[in-house]
Amino acid sequence: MIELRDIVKSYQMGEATQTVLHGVSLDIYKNDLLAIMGASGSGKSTLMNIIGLLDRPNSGSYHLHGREVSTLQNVELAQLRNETIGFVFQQFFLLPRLTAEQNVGLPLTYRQMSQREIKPLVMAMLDRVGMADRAHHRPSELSGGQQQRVAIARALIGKPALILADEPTGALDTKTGDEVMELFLNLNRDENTTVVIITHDPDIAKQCRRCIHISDGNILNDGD
Amino acid sequence: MTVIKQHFQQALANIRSSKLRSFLAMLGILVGTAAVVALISIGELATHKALQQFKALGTDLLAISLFQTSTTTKNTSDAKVFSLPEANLMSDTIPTIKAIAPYISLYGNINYETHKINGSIAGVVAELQPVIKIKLSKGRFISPLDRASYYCVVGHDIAQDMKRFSYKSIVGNQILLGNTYFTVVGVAEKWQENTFFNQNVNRLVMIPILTSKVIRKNAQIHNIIMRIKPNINITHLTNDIKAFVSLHSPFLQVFPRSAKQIIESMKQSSQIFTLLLGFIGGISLLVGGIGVMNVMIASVAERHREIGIRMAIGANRKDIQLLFLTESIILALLGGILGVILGISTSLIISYFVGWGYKIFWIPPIIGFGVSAATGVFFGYYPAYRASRLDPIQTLRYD
Repeated sequence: MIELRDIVKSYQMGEATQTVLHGVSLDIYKNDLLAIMGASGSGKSTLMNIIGLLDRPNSGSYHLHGREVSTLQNVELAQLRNETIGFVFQQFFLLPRLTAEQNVGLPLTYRQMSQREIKPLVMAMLDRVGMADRAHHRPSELSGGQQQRVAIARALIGKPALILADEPTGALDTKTGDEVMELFLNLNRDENTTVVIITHDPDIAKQCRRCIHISDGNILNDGD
Repeated sequence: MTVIKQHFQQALANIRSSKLRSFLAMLGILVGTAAVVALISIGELATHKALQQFKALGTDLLAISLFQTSTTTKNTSDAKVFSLPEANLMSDTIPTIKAIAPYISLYGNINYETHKINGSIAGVVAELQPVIKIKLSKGRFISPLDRASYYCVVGHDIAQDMKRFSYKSIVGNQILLGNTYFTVVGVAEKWQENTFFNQNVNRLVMIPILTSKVIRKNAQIHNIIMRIKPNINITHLTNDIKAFVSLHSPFLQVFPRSAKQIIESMKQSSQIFTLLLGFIGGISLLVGGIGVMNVMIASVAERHREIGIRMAIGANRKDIQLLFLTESIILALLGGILGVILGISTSLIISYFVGWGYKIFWIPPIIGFGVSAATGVFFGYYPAYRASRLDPIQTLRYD
């Protein structure tokens, strides 16, 4: 589904150029459950940003569903993000002024769907993550685990081909972290959603079917 | 459509969540719009009021004042004065004059049934009635047949005073002007005041012009008001009049005032006035706009994270720009609406106290409203543009 070839990404730091990714190649298949591991500064966040179409590589090719996407316009990238990728962040990143329901529905509003079309989909999705009774709460009125469930519902609402989770359990205690992981595993198993989890926690990585390590901008091993 | 509705709701929610700041931003626009609306409205009202008096009289009027030039000999008998027959001759000679009404302003005590009445006296001719449109409620006006008799016509307010002092019928009764008794032959209706005629007819006792010498020995004609043919060249006419006067009374100088010219200059000065007021209001709107820009820039800086999240879940730059632009337009429009209301009520209150009689002019509110909306767009554009240019990665990484 995703085919990364020789991805190089470097940043200009004043005079010096710092290369963060040195020609990374990676395939992500449909229905994959992949963990990307690495210490902080290893380039895993950059890799995630590139996979998530938030950033462009300096060189190399990125095929998504067989289409070269590293050269697309911003508008097209925004649309692709909206339709094919669901983000889950460590800090949840819900909009504080919107209710759980409004947060979950947000991706669909960018598809020009009407509120009437959106509402039943959102309620069904909240129900699935066990948050239906909190639909009208704002993020500040929810616990960390509950916020992450809402965030996952937001990632799933657009039926994305790929869920991209950046340290999704990093800000949660073990028990709620396990519950969130359980949600991802179920999604992958029951709905064939492709899930990529970026983590530095080996316990999380162990639960994934496939795990790659990244260090200093290179993939060390692709332990299938 | 959904996105715009959403933006609208979210902008409202955002404005509500930081009430004080939004209110302060709005306040600038509010004061600016109110200033524009109130100032222009008041300017329009003043002009309207000033022009109203001409509506009643029509614009085909010309007034001239005749005075001796300072270089001529003192006010002695050798300085030939302008007389009534000469005025009539002038009217006959110059065909564009339709009716001519010389008058003499006289000052003397007015007493009725031993009570003093405030007012002035003027010696007039019969033509004055049609020329400045005096309507009578009782009796008749001064007639040429009155010659130098002791008859008079009293103005509306004088008649009111007379009624308070005596139950006797006014017409046919006598009134003391200076030291002479005059018989009232007519009472005028309420007259629309007009700066064009030197006297306020409502507080005026009018006597035959030939009787003027009874009140003041050396009474002379200094003022002539005339109705002229419509659409004629005023300059030509005044030149004709000057030529005629210099022929008959070489020491007199003519100072013309035409209704059309007065209206023109009035309109012109009111335009400058309105422009100036609009400019002052515009400056306060500008300051208000800068306030909106300031608040929006702060709002964008504070919501970097939100912008990043929205971009990550599929908002493109245009969506982000629209989100912030909507917010600034709502701020400006709210300020504009409140400002229009405040401006209209201010001009209403002022016109009430000045006694102008209110009339809502639609142009100033529309201008105020439109300009405040434009201010929202103009001063909201830059912050919104800045928001849309943010890099989602940067905004998501940093707290």
